[in-house]
Amino acid sequence: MAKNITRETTGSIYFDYKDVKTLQRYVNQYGQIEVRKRTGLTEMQQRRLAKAIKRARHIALIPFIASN
Amino acid sequence: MKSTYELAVLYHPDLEIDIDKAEAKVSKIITDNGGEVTNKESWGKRKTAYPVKGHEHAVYVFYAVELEGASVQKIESVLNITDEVIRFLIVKQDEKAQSKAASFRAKRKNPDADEKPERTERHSRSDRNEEGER
Repeated sequence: MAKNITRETTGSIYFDYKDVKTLQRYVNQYGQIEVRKRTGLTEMQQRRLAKAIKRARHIALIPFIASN
Repeated sequence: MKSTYELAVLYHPDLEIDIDKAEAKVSKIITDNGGEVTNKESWGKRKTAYPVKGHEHAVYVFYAVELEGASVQKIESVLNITDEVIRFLIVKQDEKAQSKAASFRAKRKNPDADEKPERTERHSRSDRNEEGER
């Protein structure tokens, strides 16, 4: 896996908690949120991402702990 | 002052056949508390990522609701004791971030054009190389 998942270092991006496909790119195989070093996001983007992932977990769109 | 909220509702999986009845019940809860459903998006029956109240599946429906801030708590307390609803989520829409992101994406796709509020699909972007995707 590439170190930087995305290179969205400028501008704003919005994370929707319903957008499972996008959110899944930012969690590892255990379902944990990736650190900023790996995601390559800005602080604000990372905060929004974390919020979206937590919301998606609440409505069971993505798992809290992935069991493969 | 009313604002736009997003309401995600997970219905009991056995209600898939006559979902209308359950949806009418939820709509009534919203209107009774001075809300107004402006948009509805149904995903149908879907496997949940983990068991929710013992159910492996749920019927997903998303609503866009115009609500008074004070009525959010009331709706939450009613939904909590509604048997048809196994899980729900009410969040305020971050319209500022959404429109900003949309205009940024549009600008990046077409730098000469002025701000366009139209949403562009992430995956149709031409400026992103394949290696960056994963």
